[in-house]
Amino acid sequence: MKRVLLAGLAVAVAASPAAASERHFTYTYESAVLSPGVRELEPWSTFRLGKSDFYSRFDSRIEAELGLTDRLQTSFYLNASTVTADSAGGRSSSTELEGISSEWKLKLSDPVADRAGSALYAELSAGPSEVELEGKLILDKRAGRLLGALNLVAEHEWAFDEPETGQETALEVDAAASWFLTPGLTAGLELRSHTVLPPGDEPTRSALFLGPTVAYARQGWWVAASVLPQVRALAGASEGHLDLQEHERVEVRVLFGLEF
Amino acid sequence: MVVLAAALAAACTAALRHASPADVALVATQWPGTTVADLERGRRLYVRRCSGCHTLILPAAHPPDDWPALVDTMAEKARLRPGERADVVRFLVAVASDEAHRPQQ
Repeated sequence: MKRVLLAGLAVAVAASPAAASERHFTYTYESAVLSPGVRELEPWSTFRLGKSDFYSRFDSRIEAELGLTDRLQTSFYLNASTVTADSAGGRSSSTELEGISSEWKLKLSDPVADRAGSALYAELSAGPSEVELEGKLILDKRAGRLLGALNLVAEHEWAFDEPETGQETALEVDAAASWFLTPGLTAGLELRSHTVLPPGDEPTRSALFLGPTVAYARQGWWVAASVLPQVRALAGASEGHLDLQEHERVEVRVLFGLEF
Repeated sequence: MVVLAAALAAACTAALRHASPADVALVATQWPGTTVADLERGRRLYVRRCSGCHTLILPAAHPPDDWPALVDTMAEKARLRPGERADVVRFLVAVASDEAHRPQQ
C-alpha cells in the first residue's frame, strides 16, 4: 500500500506543472510573462573567469518581477559586482554597487499556441559610472519535448567614469535548445555570441560561447544554470583562437526564481 | 546556429489547435448549446491566463475527465472567474476528447 501511495505521489509530482514562470536557459530569454499580479524574486549570479592576465568577476543581481497584464511584465534590479584582476600594481579586488535596472517585457505570441512564441524586451540600467540601454527580440518554440529559443540583442552604453568614458555598442545573439526529461527537468545546450563595437579605431571584438544548460522547476520555485566556455573568437583573437582582451575564458550563470 | 534555426522553423506549427464543429459535437451532451465561439473563448483564456505560470500543456496530455479537477487546482491563481473557468474546461475537454477518439497511428 505504501509503495502504491509513493508511486502515485511520484506520478502526481511529475505531472504537475511548475507554478512559477520558469526559465529554462540563463542567457537566452523565453517569451513567457508572469500572470497579472504574480510576483517573483530572482537572484542572479554570474561568474566570469580568465583573461590575458588573472581575472575573475562575480556579478550579482537581485530581480523583482511583477506581471502587469496577460502580456506585459516589469522588473526592477539591484546590480553589484566584484572584480579581481592583475595589473601593473599587482592583484587587486573591488566590489561596487553598479546601479539599478528597469526591465519591460511584452509578449506577442505563445510558443505552444502559436507558430512561434515572441516577445519584445527593453532594459534601462543606470549607475554612478554608466547608463545602458538594451533591447531584445525574443523568439521561442515548444515542440513536444523540445524547447528552442533565439534572442537578438542590441545594447548601448554611455560611460562617464575616468578613464573609461565614452560610448560603446554591443550586439549579441543567444540561442538555446533543451529537452524535457520530465515536465520539470530540462537539459540542453546554450550558445552565446557577443560582439563589442567600440567607437573610433579600436578593433571589434567578438566571441562565441557554447556549453551545457540545465533547469529544474517545482511548484513556486525554479533554478537554471549554464556553463559557457569561450569556443572561439569571431573577431579580434588575442590568444590563439580566443579573445581574452574583452571576453573571458568561461562564463557560469546560475538563476533562481521564487514566487513571493 | 543554422541547425537550431532549421529545427525551429521545422517545428513552427501551432501545437494547440483551434476549436472546430467536431469538437462542439463531442461536448454537446455534456454542455448543450456550446458553440465553436464558446470553445475559442476558452482557448483564448487558456493561452492568456495559464501560460503566465507554466508552459501550456496540450489537452491530449490528460484524459478529458481529468481536466475539470486540474483546472480547479489552478483557477484561483490564474484569476479565472467561474464562467471563465467553465470556458477553459470546455475547450480542454473537447480537444482532449477529440484526441482520445482518434485511432492510434
